[in-house]
Amino acid sequence: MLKLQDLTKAYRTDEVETVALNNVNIEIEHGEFVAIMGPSGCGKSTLLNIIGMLDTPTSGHYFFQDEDVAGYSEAQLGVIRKQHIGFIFQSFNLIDELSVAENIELALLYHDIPASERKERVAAVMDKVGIAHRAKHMPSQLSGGQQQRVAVARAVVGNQSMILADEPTGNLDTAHGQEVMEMLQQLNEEGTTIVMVTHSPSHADYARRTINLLDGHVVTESMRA
Amino acid sequence: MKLANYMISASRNLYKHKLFSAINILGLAIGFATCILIMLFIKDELSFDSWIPDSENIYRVELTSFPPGTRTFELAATMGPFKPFIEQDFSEVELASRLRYEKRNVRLGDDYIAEQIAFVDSNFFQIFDLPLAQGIVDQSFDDPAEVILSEKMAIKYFGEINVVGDSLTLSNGRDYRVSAVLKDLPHTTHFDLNLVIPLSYSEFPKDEESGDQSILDDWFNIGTYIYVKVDRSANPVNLVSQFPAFLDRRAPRPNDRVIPSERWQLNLMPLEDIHLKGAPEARIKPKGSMTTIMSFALIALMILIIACFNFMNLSTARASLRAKEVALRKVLGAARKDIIVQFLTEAALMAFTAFLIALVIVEVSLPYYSILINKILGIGVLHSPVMMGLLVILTFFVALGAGAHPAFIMSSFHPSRILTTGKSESVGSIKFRTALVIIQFTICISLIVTTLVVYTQLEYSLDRDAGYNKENLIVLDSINDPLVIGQSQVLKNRLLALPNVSQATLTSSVPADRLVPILGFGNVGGQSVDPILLRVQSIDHDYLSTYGINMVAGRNLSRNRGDDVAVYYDEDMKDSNILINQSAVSKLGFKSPQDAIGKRIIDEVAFTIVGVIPDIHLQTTREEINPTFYYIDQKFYNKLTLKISSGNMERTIADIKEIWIDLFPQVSFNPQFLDEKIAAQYKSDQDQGQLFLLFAGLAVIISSLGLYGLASFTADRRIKEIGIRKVMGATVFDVVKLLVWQFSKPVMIANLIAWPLSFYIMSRWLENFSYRIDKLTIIGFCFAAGGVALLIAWVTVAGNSIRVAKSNPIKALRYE
Repeated sequence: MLKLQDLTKAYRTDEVETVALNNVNIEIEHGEFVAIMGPSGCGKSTLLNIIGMLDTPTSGHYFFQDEDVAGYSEAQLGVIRKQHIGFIFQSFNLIDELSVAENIELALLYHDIPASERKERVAAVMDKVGIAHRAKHMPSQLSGGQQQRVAVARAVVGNQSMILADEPTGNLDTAHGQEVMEMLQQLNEEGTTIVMVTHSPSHADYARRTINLLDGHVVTESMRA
Repeated sequence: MKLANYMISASRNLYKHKLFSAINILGLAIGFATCILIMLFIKDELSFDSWIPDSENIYRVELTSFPPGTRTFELAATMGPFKPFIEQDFSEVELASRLRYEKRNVRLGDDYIAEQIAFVDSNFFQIFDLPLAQGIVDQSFDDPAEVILSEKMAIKYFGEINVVGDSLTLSNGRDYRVSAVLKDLPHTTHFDLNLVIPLSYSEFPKDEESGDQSILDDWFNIGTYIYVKVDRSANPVNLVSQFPAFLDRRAPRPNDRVIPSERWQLNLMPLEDIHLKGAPEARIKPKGSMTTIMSFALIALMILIIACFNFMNLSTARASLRAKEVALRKVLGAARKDIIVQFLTEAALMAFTAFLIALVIVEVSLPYYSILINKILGIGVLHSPVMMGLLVILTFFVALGAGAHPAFIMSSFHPSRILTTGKSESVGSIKFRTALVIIQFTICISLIVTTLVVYTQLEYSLDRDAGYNKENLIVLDSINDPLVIGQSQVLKNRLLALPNVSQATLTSSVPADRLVPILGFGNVGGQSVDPILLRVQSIDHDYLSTYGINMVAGRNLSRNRGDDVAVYYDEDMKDSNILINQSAVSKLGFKSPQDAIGKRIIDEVAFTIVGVIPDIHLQTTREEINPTFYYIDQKFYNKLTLKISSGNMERTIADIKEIWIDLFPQVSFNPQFLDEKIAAQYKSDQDQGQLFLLFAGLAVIISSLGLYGLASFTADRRIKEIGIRKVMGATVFDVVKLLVWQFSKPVMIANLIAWPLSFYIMSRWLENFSYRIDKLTIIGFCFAAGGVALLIAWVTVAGNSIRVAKSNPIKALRYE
């Protein structure tokens, strides 16, 4: 599905250069469930942003479905991103002024899909994540777990083949965290590639592979049997 | 030393957000400056004549005349013969004095220059105690060979002001000894006194030849201004109530059927009110307009309000970005009061900076503004402690009003919440801000529509088909000067011999002349009627050809027929033939122009209509075309109109001048292009248009600043939402569209309010004009102004929207 080759990301201010990722080489196959772990500041989020095409590498190659996207412009990346990649954030990032259904529909809004089809697909995905009865509610009326389920629904409603989750359970209690992990697992079983950044070893266990990062380097990779 | 810390923190904060501070302060400065400029104008308009000592006891006697069959005339001038009777009959009147203007030619070297001479009674300077530069005014300013000059005139004719005892020569051959030099009057005076000569019969003698009485004794010559000084204790209302009886006692009857008090009414106009409230006709200087003052005051207030709201809006928007600083200060021990003081200090610093910049703007723009409003304004008024104090207090209140809103909201933040979540509470309501933008743009759009309508009507007035060809016509005046009138035909013939002069006509008046005589006819086509009033225009045989006017019916007056010319026999006029215009055809009750031919209308003599010409516009578009009759009477020629070929105008005028000087060395030569004379009538409309343009421009600038503030405020608020939308696949264009639409809505609502409002106001304004652009064009202007406002709004918010739309969404989404 994707391959990172000698990937480096450096942030430069006037005086100092900070290397966030240094010569990273990672390959992720279609249908994998990968967890990325590491202490704060190790470059996890930078890695996820580059994979999610929200950020561009300083040097190296990023092959997405055999296409080197490392030198692509923001607009070109945007086209690939909206077709293939869904996002889930720690802080849910729902729009407060829109209802549950409208928030989910947002992911289809920029895809030239007719309104009637949008409605159908939103309804279907709400059923799937068990939030249909809350369709007209505003995000502030939902619990954290429910909000994250809305976010998951939004991430998959466009039939994205890969979901990037940045600490999806970070703001949730254990029970709700469990719920979200199970949902991600189910999506993975249905064929969606999932890349997840997490601090929780138990949640990392849902993944079939864990990549450990330290100071911008991949230190270990471990596979679950 | 907390205050010092606040000042340091405030000034660093201002410096850090340079663009923001600059916009904020500049907007307020422009608002202040506009306000001060308008205030200077209003103060100037309200201060007319109040500087004259004892002004509250001085009045002008004004006349309202109700001639039958036409409108009422409110006249600043009245009948001169009243003067002695006013002094005799009313004990409250301490002094009464006449002022009468006449153009005379004054010698300067070998040339003669036409000057407006003020002729006044000997007690004039007892009523008006005006400051002198040289000499003293004799108690009895009554030596007919005496003249008082203004400093300006002394310099013009003698090159210095120390000229008491020197002499001036007029074209009548007499010398006048300078007895005093007046300080130049400020422009805030309703009269002009440049050359003052005692009013006497030697200046206005009886006509020995015809035996006509002196104009000073003529009850039906309304051209004398009478001023009275009344007893301090006198009640002017009481005085005015006695005027009808006074009129009937002293004035002659206008005719057998009416008594004087039915035809005329006398009023007392306080000296200080003459400029703004005095009678509109026969004025010395154009009347000031209370409506203009009120609308300017309103505009000043609106611009100040817009600017203050902007200031408030922008300050609050910026304050919300400083939540963390406030929270930290609170954690470190700042009380709510301290935060409030800090924000108010900042607001005050900005407001006073704006105030200083405004003073600079005023100082720099004053000369241009003076040209625009047609008066020389000094900034001196601003230097008075009272005025300065008022402005400082105003600034203080602006600072308080603008600073209070963010100060109180920011100081109420809970530091723990801000520091742990980094999230600031929403500051101020979006609805309130949107309402402000709607109000601002309503004002902008209305001002743009106003400007468009004023200019288009002006264009229409200048370009409309006047019914004659006004191109290449030069008008010479002074034809009625005693030195010229007898030779007017000679002049005409000599000028016609010039190669570039193709036509010439002598007339009593030309288009754009103000006061034109009116005659009443009591008998039309053999039937007695209520007197029908027609304007009288004396012309000659070449009038129609010079002005390019074609006959509608009948024939032109002919050189070959004796009865086509007015002939006098022993004072009495003989019957003659005339032309009338189409308005006169219907006013006199004829069915068609053809029907009027051959009919007789009778005043004292009978006039036979031999021809009808089209209506031509002789005055501004404000006035209806008057029913007019044209006849040939050499006695009343005032103007000579020349049709010249285009080409070398300077050469042509030089040739004309040479002939004039050869014939009349003692009469000044004042050529005027007719189209320029016509355009000059619209000068006040033009000035008004320019001012509206200026105000509309300023309102647009200040409103745009406000919109910019609102855009940056909401964009910052929506940064998370925009981030989410971008991650979901929204392009930069999608986001810009979203934000731009958000700001198009208030502008569209403003349009919906402004359109009916400006349509109503401007169609009322257009009703002042008898000939005007179609009112429906206002609708077109409404759309145009709305489009311009939208475009301005888009340009204003687009930059900010693009910046926000382009920003990387991860920054907005990573942390809350």
